[in-house]
Amino acid sequence: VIPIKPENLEAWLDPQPGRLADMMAILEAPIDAYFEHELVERDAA
Amino acid sequence: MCGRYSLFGPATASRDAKEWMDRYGFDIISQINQRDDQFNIAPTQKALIVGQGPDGADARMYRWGLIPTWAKDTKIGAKMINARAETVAEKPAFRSAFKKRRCLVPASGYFEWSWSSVRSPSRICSWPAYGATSRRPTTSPPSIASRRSPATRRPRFWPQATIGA
Repeated sequence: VIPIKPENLEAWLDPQPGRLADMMAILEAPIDAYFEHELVERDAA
Repeated sequence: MCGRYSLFGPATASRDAKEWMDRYGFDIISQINQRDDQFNIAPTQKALIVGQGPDGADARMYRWGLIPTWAKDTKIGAKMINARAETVAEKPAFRSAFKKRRCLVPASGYFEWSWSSVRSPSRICSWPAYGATSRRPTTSPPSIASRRSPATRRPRFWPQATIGA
C-alpha cells in the first residue's frame, strides 16, 4: 500500500494519460507510514 | 503486499480524516451506512471507494478485485487485488486502468505480512504487521478501476485493485 499525500489526491483522481511520469512521481513520494510492532519495539527499547 | 486493511468509523476517525471527508462532502453514515470501525476489510468484499464522478469526487461501494475488460470470468477479480507500483504501467491487466481510471481507497491502516526469526528462533515465522501513518489516521492508498459491463444482468460495478510498493 502506498499512502499518497493529501495534496496529490485530486491529481491522482484526474489522470492525464500523456503524463505518466507525473503519476509515477505521486507513487514515489508517499506519506511516511509506520508499523505498529515497530513502535512497540522502539518504545520497549 | 496488502491483503487486508481497516477503516475507522466516524466516531474514531482522526481530525485529519474528518477534515478530508468534509472537504469532499462525504458522510460515511448516510452514504455507506458505516457507523463502526472495520478492522479486516478483505479482497472480494465491498468497500468504500472514492472516484471521480461527473460532478467531482464521488464515494461509492466497490468490490475489491480488478476484473480486466478482456477477462471472460469474473473470478479473476479474486486474484487481481494488488498491483505493484514498479510494473502497474506495463502489466496488460493494469496499464489501461492506471492511465485512465483511478480511485482512492480511504483506509485507517493496513496489514502486510512480515517475516522474522526473532519470535521463533527455530524457524522463520510470519505475522500480519499493521501499518498506518498516525495513531488515528485515514490514509488514501491509490487504486485503479476497471470499467466493466458484464454481459450478464448483474449491475455494473467498478472493481478495484490497490497499488503497493
